[in-house]
Amino acid sequence: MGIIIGPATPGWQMAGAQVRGVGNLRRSRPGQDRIFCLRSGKVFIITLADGAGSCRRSGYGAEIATRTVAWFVARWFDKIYAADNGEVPRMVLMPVIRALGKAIQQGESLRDYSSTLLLAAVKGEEFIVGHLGDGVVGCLDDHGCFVMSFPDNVEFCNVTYFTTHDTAFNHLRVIRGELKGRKGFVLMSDGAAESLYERSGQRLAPAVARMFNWFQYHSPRKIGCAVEDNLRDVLRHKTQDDCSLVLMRLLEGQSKEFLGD
Amino acid sequence: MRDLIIRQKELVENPTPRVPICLVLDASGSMTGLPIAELNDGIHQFFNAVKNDETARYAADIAMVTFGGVVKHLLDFSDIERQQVPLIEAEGGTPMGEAVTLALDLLEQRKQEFSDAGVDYYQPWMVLMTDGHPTDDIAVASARSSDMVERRKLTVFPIAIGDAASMQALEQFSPKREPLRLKGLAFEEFFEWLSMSVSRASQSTPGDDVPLDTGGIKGWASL
Repeated sequence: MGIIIGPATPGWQMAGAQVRGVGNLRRSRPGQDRIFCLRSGKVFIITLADGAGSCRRSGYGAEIATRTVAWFVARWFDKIYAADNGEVPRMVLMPVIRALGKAIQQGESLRDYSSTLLLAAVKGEEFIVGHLGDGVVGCLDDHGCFVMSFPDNVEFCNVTYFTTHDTAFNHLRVIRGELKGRKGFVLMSDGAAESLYERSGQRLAPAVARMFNWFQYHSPRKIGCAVEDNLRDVLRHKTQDDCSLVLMRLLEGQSKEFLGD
Repeated sequence: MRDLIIRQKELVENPTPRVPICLVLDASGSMTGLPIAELNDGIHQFFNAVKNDETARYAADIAMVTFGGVVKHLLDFSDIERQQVPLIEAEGGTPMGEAVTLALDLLEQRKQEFSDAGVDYYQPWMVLMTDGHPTDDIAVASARSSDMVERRKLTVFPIAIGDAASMQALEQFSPKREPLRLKGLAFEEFFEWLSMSVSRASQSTPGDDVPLDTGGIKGWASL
């Protein structure tokens, strides 16, 4: 469980949380979802990783992945933004794989640290979104919320791509561009997506728009707590899986006065 | 603060991911008498066990094909609550190849229906049970089944009933999982184990290994 708090200033604000799923609670296993938020210089970035079910160190692997990719993209945003399409997946994933490799202890393998990986980063008027595996990346613009990157479950719902797969480079989706009215990004694990993403219509639940709206009235600290409460008390009961969700939202000008904190 | 509480109506209801299962059952003349009676009882037990399991009842999606003289599509995929368990009658030869071909076609169709409707699904299962030798050519059907297993598109449970069942024929459909011989006529024990396996599989998440309850296998198989 955990709450990440973004900077409480106008501009890009970030908040999110992760909670252990019913399945892991029942088996007394640690949660395997991780989120991370980072502001470094002019770059704002949110990341999320969902550790692979049976892999014994996947929660730690998810933590390494979220932090490593956040710091790497923050440092090399311009280079990644300008790189050729074919180069970007390797640029983004290699630091993660190297960091996971360093964490391996005797008797373990890289596979033990497997996770999905989702990220959204903004610098000035430019954004980078990356997505490997399942979960959903959503976006907010003037017309509302929409799905930017769909779950990649290969075919079966308990199969997806992880950071440690040989073919991960081929499956990391990267979307880059100018914001052009985009003012929010949301990353969610498949556990949270069970309640927030309608598979048949391929659209986001109304709750996502409301969570983006919270930033106009509440501090990121308070929103982080609210996300955690809702994941734990509402969304977790509709899945066996861990649930995690992290949002970033642009507040243009001075935001409306916060309602307490 | 009440405005920070998400309400159920603001969430979406996705259908429960399904485990498509096709039972491919020998109903040839050699099953006449006690074997077919025990098989019918076992299938009833299976449906009851699945219905009584809070997880499996919404996940299991079961069809039934029999091969006894002719191949019959005895039960179509549906919600288990809506299904009437049909009575299997034994007669004729053992057209196993044709039955498996039909089962694989049905599983493919079902997967397509799920995809079209936005319903997630797990790897399909084919349960193949026989007490004899195929009386038709199984080469094409077994190659297709084996190929799907190798590509992780299908799980096959090959089960032999009695000493006369051809383990060699069953092996051809299942390159990864060896056929198991039912202990006597322990259909009930087998189907109870199968329903528990459905429940386990339907709770798995990406990256999960879904190990079979090997201890439970001892209850119904001659190892």
